[in-house]
Amino acid sequence: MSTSAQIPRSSIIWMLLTQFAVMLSHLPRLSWWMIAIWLLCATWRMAMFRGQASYPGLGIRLLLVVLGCGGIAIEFGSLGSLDIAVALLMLAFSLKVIEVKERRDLFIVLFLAYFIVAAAFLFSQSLFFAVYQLACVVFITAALVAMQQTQHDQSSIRSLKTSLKLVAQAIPIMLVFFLVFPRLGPLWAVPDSKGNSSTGMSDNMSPGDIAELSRSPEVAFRVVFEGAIPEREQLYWRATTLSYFDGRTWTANPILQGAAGKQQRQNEKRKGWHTQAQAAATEITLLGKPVRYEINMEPNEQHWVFALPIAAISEDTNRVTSRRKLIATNDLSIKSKDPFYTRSLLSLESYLSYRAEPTMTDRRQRQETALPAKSNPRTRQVAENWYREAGSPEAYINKVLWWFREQDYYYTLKPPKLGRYSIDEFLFDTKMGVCEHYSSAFTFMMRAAGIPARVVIGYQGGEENPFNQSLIIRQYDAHAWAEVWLEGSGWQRFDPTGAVAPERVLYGLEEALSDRSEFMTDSLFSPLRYRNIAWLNGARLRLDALNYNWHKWVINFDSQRQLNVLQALLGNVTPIRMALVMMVTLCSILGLVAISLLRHRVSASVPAETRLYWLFCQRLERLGLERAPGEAPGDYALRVIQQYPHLDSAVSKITGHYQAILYAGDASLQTMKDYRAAVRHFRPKSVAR
Amino acid sequence: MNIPDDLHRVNPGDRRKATDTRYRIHWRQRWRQWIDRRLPASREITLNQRNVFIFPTPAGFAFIGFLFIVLLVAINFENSPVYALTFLLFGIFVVSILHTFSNLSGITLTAAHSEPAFTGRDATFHVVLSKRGSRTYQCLQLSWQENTPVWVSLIDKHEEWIALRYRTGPRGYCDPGRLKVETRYPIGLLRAWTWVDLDMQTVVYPHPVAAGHLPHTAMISHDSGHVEQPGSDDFYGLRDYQPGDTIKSVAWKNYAKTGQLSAKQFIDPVDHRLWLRWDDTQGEQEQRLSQLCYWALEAERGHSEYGLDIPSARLSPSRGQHHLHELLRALALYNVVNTRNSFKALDKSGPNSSAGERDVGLATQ
Repeated sequence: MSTSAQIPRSSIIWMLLTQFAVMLSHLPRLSWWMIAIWLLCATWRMAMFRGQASYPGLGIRLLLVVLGCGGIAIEFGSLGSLDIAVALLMLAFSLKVIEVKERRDLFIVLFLAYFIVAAAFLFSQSLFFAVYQLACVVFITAALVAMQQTQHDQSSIRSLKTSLKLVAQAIPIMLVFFLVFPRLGPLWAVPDSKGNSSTGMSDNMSPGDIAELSRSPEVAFRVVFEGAIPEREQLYWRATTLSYFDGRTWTANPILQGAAGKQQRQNEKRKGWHTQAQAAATEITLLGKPVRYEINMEPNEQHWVFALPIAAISEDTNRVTSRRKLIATNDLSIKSKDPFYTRSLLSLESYLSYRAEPTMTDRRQRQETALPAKSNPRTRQVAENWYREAGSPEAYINKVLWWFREQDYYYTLKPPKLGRYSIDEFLFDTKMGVCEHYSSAFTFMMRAAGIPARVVIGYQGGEENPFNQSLIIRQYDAHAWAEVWLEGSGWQRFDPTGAVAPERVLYGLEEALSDRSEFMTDSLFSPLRYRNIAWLNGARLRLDALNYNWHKWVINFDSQRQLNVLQALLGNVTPIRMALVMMVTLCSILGLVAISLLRHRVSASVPAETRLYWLFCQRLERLGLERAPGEAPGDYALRVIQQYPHLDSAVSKITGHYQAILYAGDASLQTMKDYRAAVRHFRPKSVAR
Repeated sequence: MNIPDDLHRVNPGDRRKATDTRYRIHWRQRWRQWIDRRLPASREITLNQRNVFIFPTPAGFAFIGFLFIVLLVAINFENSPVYALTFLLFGIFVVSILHTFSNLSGITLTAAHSEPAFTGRDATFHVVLSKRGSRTYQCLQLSWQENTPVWVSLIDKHEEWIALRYRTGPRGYCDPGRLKVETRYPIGLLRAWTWVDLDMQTVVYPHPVAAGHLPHTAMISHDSGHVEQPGSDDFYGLRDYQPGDTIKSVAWKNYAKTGQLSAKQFIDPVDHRLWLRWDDTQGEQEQRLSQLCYWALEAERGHSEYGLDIPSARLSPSRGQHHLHELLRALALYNVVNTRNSFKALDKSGPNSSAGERDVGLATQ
């Protein structure tokens, strides 16, 4: 019993712990001075807790606010970005802690903490992060519970237990709402949260770029096929084409990057394709059956969709990926209108055999064969000679590929630096490089011979995850290959890397490297390095499968997916049916919780015979015969029989058994059994039947 | 909460206030009638869904508003985890309704004894909180109206005795009204409460006022405790003969034995019982009662028996705490009508009431 109404001390500790946990989830976005302010405030609060410091005066608090806001203004500059909002939120959260005096202040701090948990989800949404965030919610709730305890009864364990119970019981409610709550579009424009992706493709390629990318084991995207996974040699995930060469760097042709015009990609078998070819009229014929697959793109702040060529965008596709507008570009790639700032799931269809741009205008031919005037003279010379010898483009291509195969070219992630005539040096001197060197040299040689050709960048292959039949494509799967235009058959894919290191195409980068130690030198602790340990690899892939489902079912759960799920569950989705389902599930959840809370729980320490006797008394109570406190069973029985003679036999029997067990120590199984049966069947009525 | 008698004299603002007050009184009456029907007075009440109310606290409303903001974030950023967080927090709120309710429901409040007090001091009411089963109850607040609450938890224990203080008003019966039992556990966003009428009442003694001396103060001798006056009725003892003593008083038998003249001494017995009489006091009714109250306390500190003689009651002289309380009670209830009927019956039978009567003499100091 106490009369104190102050904040219990344990809740201050909970508050600081909560703050620590919540701030940690924002650590990547905190600059050093914000961490300093946070730690200063937390330390001060701790000193106040210990009685070593007093509440800071108005001057100090104002100074901290001004310092913080000034810091934010200097660091972020322009107003209105999401980062600024979050930074201000963190600042307020840090500072509020030192002026907590009453319960009301503590409520504000803890609500802020909940809000900061929500804000952290704008930046990261991985499964593990979500689990961490859930733990944060448990902590904050425990702090709320601790705050309600009195100074005398405070117990951190009890706070945590209560909080866990609350969160556990709230989860079913969350699931129901998550499933049925209508997903609306954004109500107004909000600043985009910029992902913190560090690596990824860029829209140009100079020697060394892809080699750099190949060091990273970061996931670029994941794919799940509907049906079997196509052959590995088919898995050329296309980002974009690079058609302009300045002697060293390949860059994209902006015209080809534009949205294809009104003309449709023609499909001989299916009508109704709503797609675009282009102003320059890329004529495409799709052949055979499409493969269908889902791409789960990691945020990379780029527009490319890494599709297999040639992806067709149907109305269907656009409906499924409702939130994102996809565009088919003139160079047979797919782009998204908005960059991928968040993880996104797209459903696509690709026709692996096709005929693209079988005829080409002179202007286009000039574009695709253009080379800088005086670059790489040795290569030009060789190309012209070989083309003359070969006679036809096909023969020439074979000659070049043969050259790559036969000469001792070396596949390495650490190619020597190349100078002004990069292709000359690579082809004839260093002979060491990765895909970019080969594709660049190959394309150059094609163009030098007057054959339209271009470099294609993207990814190749991927790691198969047997647990969900998905492919995981990582940054080190980045690849560059070439496309050559042949009269009549259009653009054809050639991969000179395959000629040098066929393992690269068939098995992936690690197999292709002549020196295995080059693989992932920067990521010593990545689980990918230990793929040879079976169980570890299994666990890693299982986790990845889990993560994939997390993204598919939670992160990308939009209105379309919601409708699909609800239709699968309920059949026809009508508002009434939805409301009904919601009511029924919610009521049953709450009913279960209520039962678990309000059930008259008898402590386990009470022996069974006593509990049975209580039941017996309870039933007699309904007749208005309450057992007085401390009344002996015998006396009670006499009283009952006196009033209701017809119950004599049953009451005597039960009381007799109970007394026998209790006082005479008759613990035989038979007595207990009889006793139990007698009590169970005891249904007293006030009058004899 | 008085209504001015003449409304036309007050200015408009006051008039509005007065009307407000009148409405408030009206609604308060309605509320009292309603709650009396719903929660009738009883010496023992077990809380359940019939008598427990539940409503969000201001913090709870703020939380709901806050959830709307989080939901807006979820909608505008189309962020599924934020949606999930919103629903999780909402779920916590909903579940905590049940938790808060169950933190009150099932508990039994029993009225124990109550201790009387002098006007303006704290009377103490003892209430027993008990539970059945193993459920825990945490951080319940018990209070009379605006008094600071007493916090109780029932975690490992099955019952807890609570002493609730109540600042008394004027002399007479003291009815603390309904006891508010409230809890905001576990997360403070909801408040479950009830107003139970435990049918408790106690008596408020008049305020003792030192006015004048005890009647017949000379009669009280603090050292010997005996009061004597030479007389002729009772034999008291012998003393040496002194010239002037009457012949009749000479103890001849003693002279025969010892050869010394002794005189027999007689005394008259004195009525040394003290009567505290209404007629010995002066002033208004309350002043007289206050004075009698003071005398009673003084008399109890002395050594003589004392009785009370007031128009409404006559208590024969006696001594001791029990007697003192009975006397003070008679003073307290002078010309007072009990509004509560149930209490009277208990009052007579109440062996409990004496249990609480501690040393009142000390309590007044």
